[in-house]
Amino acid sequence: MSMMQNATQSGVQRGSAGSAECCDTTACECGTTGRSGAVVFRPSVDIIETDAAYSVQLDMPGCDPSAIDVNVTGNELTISGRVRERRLVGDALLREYAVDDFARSFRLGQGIDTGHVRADYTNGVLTVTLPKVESVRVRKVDVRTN
Amino acid sequence: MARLARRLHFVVAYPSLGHRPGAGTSSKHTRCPRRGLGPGGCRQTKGEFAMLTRCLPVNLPSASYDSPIDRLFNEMLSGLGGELAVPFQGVKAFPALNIWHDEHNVFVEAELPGFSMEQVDISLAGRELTLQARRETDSTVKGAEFIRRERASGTFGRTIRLPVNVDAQQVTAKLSDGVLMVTLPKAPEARSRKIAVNAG
Repeated sequence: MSMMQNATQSGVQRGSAGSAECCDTTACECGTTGRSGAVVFRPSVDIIETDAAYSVQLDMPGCDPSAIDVNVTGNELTISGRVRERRLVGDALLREYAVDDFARSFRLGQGIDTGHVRADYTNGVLTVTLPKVESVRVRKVDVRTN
Repeated sequence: MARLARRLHFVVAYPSLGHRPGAGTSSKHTRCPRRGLGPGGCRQTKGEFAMLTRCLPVNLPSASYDSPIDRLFNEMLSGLGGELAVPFQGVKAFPALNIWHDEHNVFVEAELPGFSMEQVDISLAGRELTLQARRETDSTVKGAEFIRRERASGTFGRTIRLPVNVDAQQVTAKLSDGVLMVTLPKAPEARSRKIAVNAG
């Protein structure tokens, strides 16, 4: 695809959790920002490209669907989700993970139709669909033979 | 409480295979759960449970469980001291579990985003609680190409040994927004009773 974007490491790192790692692609992570610098988790992500769109899938279990924010500002996609409070009543026997809010952001390349971004939250997975603009979609051209 | 925690042995799924995609030769491997029947160590699995050790997430993310956040929590919680502080033990297996109990129940919680209840199998044999599940990420969509892939997929299985006997008939499980909560009522003999103290 001709949507490669060379993002530099400098100037993209911020936030309290996670490091800025950039990929030379259309959805480029640029660090995380949390509520007032609070501890947040960086959700695991799959980014899948199809002919028509990019699908960004994030594991964000336990979020309140009404408290998930997906914002596209300029060329930056910012995702944050607040988890529902889960109270542990009693004494802990095993603690292997901590529960806190999620946040992660990505730098978008060109060729995304930012006016038609869609987000769905199902079974604790947030799926953000970023449609490609018409001009960059792959079109299959039928070859005619005489 | 502390005694209970020590008795909670757990058997994890994948480290027996000694391979974790992308994990390289990091020191995490040297901290694999202990084998054998030593104090606090894993119980050796036999029979059907041995099968479970063959189940592993085929695409376990390599770095997400050793993040600075994990380490931060590790330090925070281990600094609390006292009986109530169960050290944050970090994730050695998938899924990570939080387990706690009160007077009547043992609660087992796991984060299983992307799983439906049909994909999760929970079984109880005596005190052995086994969670098994399978998750496929969208690798089969025609024409789709992964640009980034961090989420675990595949089959996992995990068995833990509960600290007390539970009433198998009354176990309930709920999967809500990717959070699995298993509630295991303690068997009557396992509940603590208040003993009246007669004043002389």
